[in-house]
Amino acid sequence: MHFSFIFLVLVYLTFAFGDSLICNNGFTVVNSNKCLKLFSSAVKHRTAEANCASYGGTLVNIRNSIDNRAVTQFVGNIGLSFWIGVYCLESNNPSSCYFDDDLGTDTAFNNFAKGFPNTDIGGCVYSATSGSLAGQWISSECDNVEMAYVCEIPMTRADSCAHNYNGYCYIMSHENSTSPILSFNDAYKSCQDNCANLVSIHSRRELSYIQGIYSPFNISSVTIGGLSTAPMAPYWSDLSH
Amino acid sequence: MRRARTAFTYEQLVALENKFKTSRYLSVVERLNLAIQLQLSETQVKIWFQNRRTKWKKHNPGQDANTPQTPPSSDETQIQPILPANPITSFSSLLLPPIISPANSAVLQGTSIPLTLFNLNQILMPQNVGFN
Repeated sequence: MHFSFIFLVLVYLTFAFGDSLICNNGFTVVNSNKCLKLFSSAVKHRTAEANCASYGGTLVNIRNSIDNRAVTQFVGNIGLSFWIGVYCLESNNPSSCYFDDDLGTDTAFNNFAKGFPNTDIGGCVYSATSGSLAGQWISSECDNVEMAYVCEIPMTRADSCAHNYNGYCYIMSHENSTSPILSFNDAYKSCQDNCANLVSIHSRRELSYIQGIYSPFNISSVTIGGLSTAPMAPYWSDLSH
Repeated sequence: MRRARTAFTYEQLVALENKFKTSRYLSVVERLNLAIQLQLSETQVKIWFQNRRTKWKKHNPGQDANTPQTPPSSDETQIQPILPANPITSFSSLLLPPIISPANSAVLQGTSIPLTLFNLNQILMPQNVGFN
């Protein structure tokens, strides 16, 4: 059987000691640890999520009170309420809430207003920025409400690479090769020749990012650096975990 | 004492009307939510709904304000967001020691099956998403 697909190259950038982290794609550093971008046009929650995913991000995740204050101030000048990356299943039970960064719910920070979460209203959550509830979280229905939103992507390092994400450089084979469609073995070798590897994927955000960079193209499948010796026994060709 | 008449923005009126379609009476929490979303005071929202119910009754003589304005259509089932279950975001929990070394490329094709990422964007991504 002969595999013949476009492939995706992942380059591990080399860094000098002390290189500082940056935000790219028009995102702003907030609180020294977050890349955020405010979208002030009001949209439904699902639209907001999809747009964040196109950057390889999610709606903003607020993991501690310092983040909460920084994000509220980031948006606060405009006075808009905004969607955040939280979804709740049970009323008055913040531990039933999921964060979009998939980092778990146990002992998670929350700043719900009194009486929230209230899933009778809806599972989606937004943050108020003005009035007595500024910085507090409130439940909302997802489909009939439109709101501004804040996207969050990982920080990365400064580099001239066109697809620079989370400290890595991604090169699509059809952008950088006279033979963009290769067998797995030849794709693997082509990456090695460029001091790179076929891509491995380690988070939902990274998956969203990769799908995002391919979305303008009519390409239906992409070779990645995953291998399987048996069902349910996959591994990455770059030996990462 | 007479309060100055509120001039609602177009967006605020659209949102208020949309809410009125689904629920002609607001609970305290719903009113609070709506007021915050629209940057209005709770009093403004409360009075708008009172006035709107009065207007509605004039155009619907004999009908109770609690009657749903339109029966819920089965075509419009509420789509809740897909829960972010805990996906396997890396293979580490499933990883077995590779029985071959990737450097030995001659062996790869014979004993391992390459995995492919299918571009699901065009299927899953909503149409006309605004890419700012």
